[in-house]
Amino acid sequence: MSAVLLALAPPWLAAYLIVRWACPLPPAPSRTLFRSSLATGLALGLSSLTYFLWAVCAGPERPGLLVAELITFGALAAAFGRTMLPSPPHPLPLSPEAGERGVRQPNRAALPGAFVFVLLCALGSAGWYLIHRPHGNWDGWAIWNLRARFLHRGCEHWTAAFSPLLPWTHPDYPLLLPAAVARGWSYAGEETTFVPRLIAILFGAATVGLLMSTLTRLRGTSQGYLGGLVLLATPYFLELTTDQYADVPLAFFYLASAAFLEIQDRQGGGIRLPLLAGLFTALAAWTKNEGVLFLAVTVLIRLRVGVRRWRELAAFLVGALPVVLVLAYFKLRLAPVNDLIAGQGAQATFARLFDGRRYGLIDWFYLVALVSIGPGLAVVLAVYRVLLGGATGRPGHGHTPAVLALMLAGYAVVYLTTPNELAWHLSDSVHRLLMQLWPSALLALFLSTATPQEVLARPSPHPPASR
Amino acid sequence: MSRRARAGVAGLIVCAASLAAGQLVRNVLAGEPNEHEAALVAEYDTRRFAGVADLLPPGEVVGYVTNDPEPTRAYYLAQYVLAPCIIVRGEGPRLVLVDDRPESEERPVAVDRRLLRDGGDGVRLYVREGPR
Repeated sequence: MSAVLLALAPPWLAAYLIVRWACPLPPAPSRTLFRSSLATGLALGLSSLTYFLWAVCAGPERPGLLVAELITFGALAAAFGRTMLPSPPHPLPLSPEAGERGVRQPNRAALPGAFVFVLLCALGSAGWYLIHRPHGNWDGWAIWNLRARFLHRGCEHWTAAFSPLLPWTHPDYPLLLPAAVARGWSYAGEETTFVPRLIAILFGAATVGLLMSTLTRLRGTSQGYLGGLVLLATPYFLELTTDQYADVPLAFFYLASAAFLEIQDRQGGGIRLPLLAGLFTALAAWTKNEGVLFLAVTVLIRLRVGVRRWRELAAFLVGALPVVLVLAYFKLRLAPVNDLIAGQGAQATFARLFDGRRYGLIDWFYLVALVSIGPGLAVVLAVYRVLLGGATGRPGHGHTPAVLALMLAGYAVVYLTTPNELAWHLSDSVHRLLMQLWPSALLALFLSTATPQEVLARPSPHPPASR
Repeated sequence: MSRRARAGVAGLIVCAASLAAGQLVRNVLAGEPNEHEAALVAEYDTRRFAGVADLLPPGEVVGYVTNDPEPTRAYYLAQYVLAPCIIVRGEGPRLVLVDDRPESEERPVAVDRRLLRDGGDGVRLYVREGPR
């Protein structure tokens, strides 16, 4: 166990320094949580890349990985550490939380108290799942941990993981999660279930921490607590985290990309934030095929902003490039053709696209899946949004809602054209797809909703009558 | 804060707390997740194929025949345990693994094969003699 944790230290340190370099935040209580959450996901993403590249260059279990990683992460840490780069010229503005001291706050004790209660319940549930299901849920062992076993056990046969003889394992899926697990086993010296369980819980915790700290940074402490509270109280989010699937890691990278670009749109910050947004967006593509759609959607939306601020768009693309190159190598040299693409043909695809019943079925499953989050949480949040009203102050460019809308549309196109039986395909995946977007949807919701403090500060519509 | 907003915040907190507590209580009381499923994965992982695993060359394609009442799950578990071999259903490859579950009435067989090793508990590894 200690070897696994020690092996995470060098990439985590390098990742933390990269994040610190990119986000020159002024001191605030949420700063450490923000940077630590991002560093955790980035460390797992970067170390999966080093493991994969080592596998390609030398073989996955060949000696020398430790030395190669120490050199790589040491160089990154040195490059992004304070000593070798000038400090950022324009630190980001103060967070709203900095001005909250002494301000009258409604529910001062209620929100932190409720958050701690929900956190304890969530820890209990997650611990229960992890103890009673050490290998994860079905796809956890049958797809993701199986792939990790191929990498870890395969030696010169590690590419057998991508055999077209195993179509049910989706051999074209990218390798962030399996490579991170196999790397952990490599350092542990055994295939302990501790490694995939640790990675699962790290991604889940990082997602909650990132949502809370981003909302706190942009909208204040109460919004941070509320966002974290709702995400932790989402039963399927906890279950999916401990299932050891790649959906929660993907949700983390979606959220990180959205967080960077929302901060950029609201508070500026030069080219460093979009550079890192590009890196995290590309890591989503390195996690699951849906991440490739996310990368395309994000680029499309940034084009709208980027025409005026082309340097930011260029920085985003430069940040994404290294991971995209690795992904392209994997897709072109190792992975078989995706089953959904292989199952297309001009005539069959057109027939599916013009079948009206498929549209109705997809809409119905979207609606049912949305309402069943919780269940009923989406409805409660809609009522909450109406009761509290819209946010005041400087809005962003609506980046995250636009991404969410296009992602839902993109998923709908995949369902429309799927060669699989549509109802089965929807029932098998639509809940997971919505959960990938759920943390980003909560970010968008709480960014656009008035905080309790803002409601308190509003002039009353019915002033007391003077006597 | 207006009454509406206060109701909104309180409602959201109560809803979130109820969901979180409900999930914990439901899991503990109902024994979710299914422990039988987890025990089965652990049993396959540590014991079921232990008697034959050392005869399976890494990367080799191995056939798999079973009479398990849930053959897909049994096949996926076999692949999970025996990676980096590539396990395919049927008797096509040179090596064929027979996973004979006692609870089924029909006995799975590998036709025209020589028994390479009986791994016990219904697990047998067969090999095809000579080129096909």
